[in-house]
Amino acid sequence: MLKPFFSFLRGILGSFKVRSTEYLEFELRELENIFAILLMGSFVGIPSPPTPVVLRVMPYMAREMAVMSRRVEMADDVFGEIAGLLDVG
Amino acid sequence: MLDKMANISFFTGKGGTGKTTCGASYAVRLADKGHKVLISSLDPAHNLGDVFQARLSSSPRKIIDNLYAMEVDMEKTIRRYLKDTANGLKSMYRYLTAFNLEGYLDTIRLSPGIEEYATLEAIKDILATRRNYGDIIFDTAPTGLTLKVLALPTISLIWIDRLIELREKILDKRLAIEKIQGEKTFVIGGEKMKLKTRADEDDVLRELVKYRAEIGEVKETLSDDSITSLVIVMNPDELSLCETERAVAVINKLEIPIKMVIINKIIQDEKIDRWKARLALQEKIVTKAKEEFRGKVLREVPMEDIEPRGIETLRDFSRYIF
Repeated sequence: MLKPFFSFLRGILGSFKVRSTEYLEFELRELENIFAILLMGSFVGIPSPPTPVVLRVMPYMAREMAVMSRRVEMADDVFGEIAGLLDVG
Repeated sequence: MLDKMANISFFTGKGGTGKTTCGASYAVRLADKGHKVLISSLDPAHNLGDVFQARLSSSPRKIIDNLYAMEVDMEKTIRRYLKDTANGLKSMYRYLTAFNLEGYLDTIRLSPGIEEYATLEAIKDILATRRNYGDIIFDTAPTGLTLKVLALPTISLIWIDRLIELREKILDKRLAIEKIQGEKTFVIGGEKMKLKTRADEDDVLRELVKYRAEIGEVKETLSDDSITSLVIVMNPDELSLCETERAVAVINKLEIPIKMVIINKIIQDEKIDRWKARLALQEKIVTKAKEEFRGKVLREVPMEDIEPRGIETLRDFSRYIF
C-alpha cells in the first residue's frame, strides 16, 4: 500500500530535481560549447588562443567536442530548445 | 661592466646588421674568459656555422674549449612537436571518427606562425639545459619574427588565464548539478565516463594550469634582468635606427631587459669623397642613437676590411664589443 506512494513521491522528487537543474544544465552546455569553440575557433575564423595552448588541451576535450557537435546539429532549432526549456507552446 | 651581463643573451636586430657575427664573437670572448658557453642559432636561415666555419647541427658541437654551438632545426622541432601532440590526440579521440585529426594536424603543420611556436619550444628546450652552461647566447631571426616569439609567452598567458576562468565556471556548474542529481556520467562512442566536477580531477584544467606554470617560467626568465639580456645590433643608417626604435618600444612593453645596443659596420675611411654624405649621415645616426638609447651600453663597431669569420678573426672582432 505504502510502496506505490513512496514510489510516487520519489518520482515527484526526481522530477523536481530534473526541473531545478534544467537551466543550470543548459548554461553548462553553453559554457562547454563556448569553451570548445574558443579552442577550435580557428576552423571558422574566430580568433583563437596560440596553437600550443590548443594542442595542449585538445587531448582532454572529448566531451566538449561531442557537446559542440551536438550543438551544431541543433543549431537550426535554437528557439525550439529554448521554448522547450521555458515550457512554451 | 659587461662581465656582469646576465647569462642568457639574445642577439637581435634588422636582417643583415651583423647579429650572428656579434653574437659569435661575444661567445668566443666569454669562452676565452673561462665561461662554458652555448650559442644557438634560432634563425631559420642559419649562418652561425658559416661564421664559425664549421658544420653545425641541432645538437651542440664543441667549437673551441668552453664553446659549444648549434643550429636549431625548425622543421625537426615542428615535426617532433606535432608528433607528440598527435599521439595524445589519437589515444583520446579514437572514437571520434567525425573529426579528421590527421587532416587537422597536417593543416597545423602548414599554418602561418607555427615557426614562432616551434622557436619558443626550442628556446624552452635549450633553457632547460641551462645548468650545463654558464652562458647561453641566442642568435635570433630578424626583429619581426623574434619579437613575435618573445611576445608569445605574454599572449599565451592572457589566453590561458581566460580559459582557466571559463573552465572553473564550467566546473562550478557541474558541481552544482552533481550536488542535486548525484554523480553524472556521459557516453561517447560507447565509452562511459564520469563527468569531472572538481578542479583536481579535471584533465583540461590540470593541463591549463601546468602549461601556465611552464610558460610563466619562460616569461619570468625572459624578463629577469639578472638572468636575461637582449642585445640589439643595428647599422648606422636611418632604416636600421627606425626599426630599432620600434623594436625597443615593443621589447619594453614585453618587459624584456635591453642591456646593449651595437652600432655595427661604421665606415671610418674619410678619404673617399663619395662617402662624405654617408659619413655625415652616420654621425647623425650615431648621435641620435646615443640620445635614444641613453642608459644602455652602446658599442660602436667599425666596418671591417674583411668579413669576420673563423675563431681568430672573431676573437679579434670581440674587442669592439667588450
